[in-house]
Amino acid sequence: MKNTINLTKIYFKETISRLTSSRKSLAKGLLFLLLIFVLVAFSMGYSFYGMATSLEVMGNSANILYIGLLFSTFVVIMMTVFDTQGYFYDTKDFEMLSALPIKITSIVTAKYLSSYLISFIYNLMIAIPAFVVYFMFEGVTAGGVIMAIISLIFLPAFTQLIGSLLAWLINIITSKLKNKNIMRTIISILFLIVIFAFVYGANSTTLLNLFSNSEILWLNIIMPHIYLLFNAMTGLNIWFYLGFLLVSILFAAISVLIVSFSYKKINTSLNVHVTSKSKKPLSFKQSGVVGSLLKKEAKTFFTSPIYCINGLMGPILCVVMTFILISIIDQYRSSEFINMFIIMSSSILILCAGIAPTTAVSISFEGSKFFVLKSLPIKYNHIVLSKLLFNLILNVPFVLISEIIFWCFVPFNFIHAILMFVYTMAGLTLFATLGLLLNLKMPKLNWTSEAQAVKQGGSMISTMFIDIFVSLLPLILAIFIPNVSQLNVSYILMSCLAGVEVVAAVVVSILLFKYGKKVYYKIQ
Amino acid sequence: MLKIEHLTKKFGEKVAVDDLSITVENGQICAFIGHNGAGKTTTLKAIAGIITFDKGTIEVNGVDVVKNPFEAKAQIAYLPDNPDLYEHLKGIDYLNFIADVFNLSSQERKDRIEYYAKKLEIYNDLSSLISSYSHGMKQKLALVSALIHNPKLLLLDEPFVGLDPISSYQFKLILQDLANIGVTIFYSTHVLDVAEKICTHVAIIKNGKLIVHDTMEKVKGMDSLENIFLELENEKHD
Repeated sequence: MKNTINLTKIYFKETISRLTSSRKSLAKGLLFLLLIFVLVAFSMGYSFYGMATSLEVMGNSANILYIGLLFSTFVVIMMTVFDTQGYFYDTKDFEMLSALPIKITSIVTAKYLSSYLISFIYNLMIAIPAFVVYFMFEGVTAGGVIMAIISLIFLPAFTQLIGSLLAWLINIITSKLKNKNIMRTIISILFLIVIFAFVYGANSTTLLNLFSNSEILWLNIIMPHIYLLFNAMTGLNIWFYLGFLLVSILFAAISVLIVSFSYKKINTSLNVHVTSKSKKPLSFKQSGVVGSLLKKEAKTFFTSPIYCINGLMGPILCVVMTFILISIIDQYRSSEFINMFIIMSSSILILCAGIAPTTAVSISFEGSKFFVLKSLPIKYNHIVLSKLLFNLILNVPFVLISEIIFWCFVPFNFIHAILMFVYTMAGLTLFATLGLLLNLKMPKLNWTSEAQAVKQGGSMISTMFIDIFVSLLPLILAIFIPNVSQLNVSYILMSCLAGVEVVAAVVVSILLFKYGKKVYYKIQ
Repeated sequence: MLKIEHLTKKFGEKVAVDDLSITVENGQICAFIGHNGAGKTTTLKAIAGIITFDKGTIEVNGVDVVKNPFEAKAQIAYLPDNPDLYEHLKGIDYLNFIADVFNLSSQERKDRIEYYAKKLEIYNDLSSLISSYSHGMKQKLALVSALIHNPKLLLLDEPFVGLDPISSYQFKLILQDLANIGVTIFYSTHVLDVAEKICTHVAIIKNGKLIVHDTMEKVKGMDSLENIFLELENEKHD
């Protein structure tokens, strides 16, 4: 128990310090993150409010809690499910900890709690607004508030269970294969596609059922914690609540047990890298500096499962959401709806593609190898260009494919298509440059696992929060602006949004190349 | 030539390097020795442009490392004490990356990589991922990467750590060959008997301050470098 507590304290301290760049700026960094968190939570709350208003008309306003909790679970799964493996497997401290008299369950529990903290933060961002909106429509009770506050601690247990199970599955398969890193990436991507296919298959009827207050049995079975908590809150039922707590604790215990099982064997196997001597002759091909840096970025990206999944999740989700949105549009083909739909679909594309740009962690990911870039005669602009280019090369094709699909299936006119294109491309550039600028300002080079570099940096969390806020802003504005379903009004709104994004992208790019240079040379 | 004047670097309240001035001429192999935490790595990193410094100037063949970092780095090869390289690249990929940065043609890099990699007995492992290398192999790869672009100044932080005896011997010969053609070599080490054999000069740093800098013969005289160093260190404790 003592070892578990000590290790947990160490990991928590490391996690908190990774959210900011130095002790001195800890307060400033946390304040900045808190500000962005509040903005995002407010945006989520506003969106939930709009939904709850529609539900109230049907007499189902309480369902907003179910929808909010479901959405929170879904988002946290997307954000963390594949990163969980980075906390447990192939970490730099494995050998050091293995040599100490510490039980495996203690090590796994400490690592579990460390990854739980990140899921907890993401969950708060959506669950708190969901609870607030629920109380606004259903009334505040002391019991309800207490239940809500306590439940926030236990809600991430389900997403952690999924993450732990996947982590164990992926790594036990990978540990038996050659070329472990690349195989882990491939297997993770395959699982990602399966999850997305499941989400797509489940989506259309689920949404309708949620709004019409029909029971969704399969959801209640797969996510019993939401069913139990929802019934506990709506009926102020202590037994359902105890059930929710028990199920959450069970999820946590199962997660730790699953990972502890063959933890040492898997990690030992993952640490064995067999030197495979290729029979192909060595290549001595010359490339330009930017081309060479780009190649390095690509190889680093595709051979790191955590980095790869984190970077690909958004672009793939773009395409999946496109198909989901198209399935909705089938039922609503009026021109007024199309004028609104252009705003919604553009926002969702940017939400997905901009949520985890590779640039937001690319400096941190250099880690202890950062000295290589700094000691070589490589211009700062070349380094920045290679990182930006890589991110755009990864994201632009997926966004373009999504847009082409929209243009084929949705009766957008030519102006809509152009506005969508400008809006999304400016948005991609904005978040790529913003991510890199924030990572230069908040680099975390001293990580012991790739998951820490990719998921626990303040720059990644800040970029993600800003992306969510910026993506939701058009939807919120659309609620305020009268007659937004009229063609001219939607043109004006989209043009303004696209214009603002272009200006923002230009400003941030200038800051990145001018101010960012000074920051880069100060990193030590 | 490496010329450092009044170099000072602080980390918060701690003065890591305190008003250090030293000149290492072309063709000299200068051992930079000192106790743990004396400021050796800080000095090397400041020269290599990895960290900034608070006062002083550093010039490499007349090029100021702060005013013209790009031109200065083009002449420098830096080898850290623990070469953490890009594990997801193959050895040859890493060397090609370095060669691209220094704009070496395909033929140039092929000749130099083959020459140095075979000398250090790592050529046959270049097609493997760096993640499969032992510490010594990574050290050798880092050495090859430092040498292939014909640097004018070699900055080495504990270069012999992890090298097997054959590679260690080969590397000593390489350093001597480079010094003979005018390359400046400035390296930190705790392996004093190797320093005695190959170095022309020695600089001793203590608590951030340079306390000795002269030719090897003058510094050690009839004694061993180890005894001289211990004497100087004991003065600290007296």
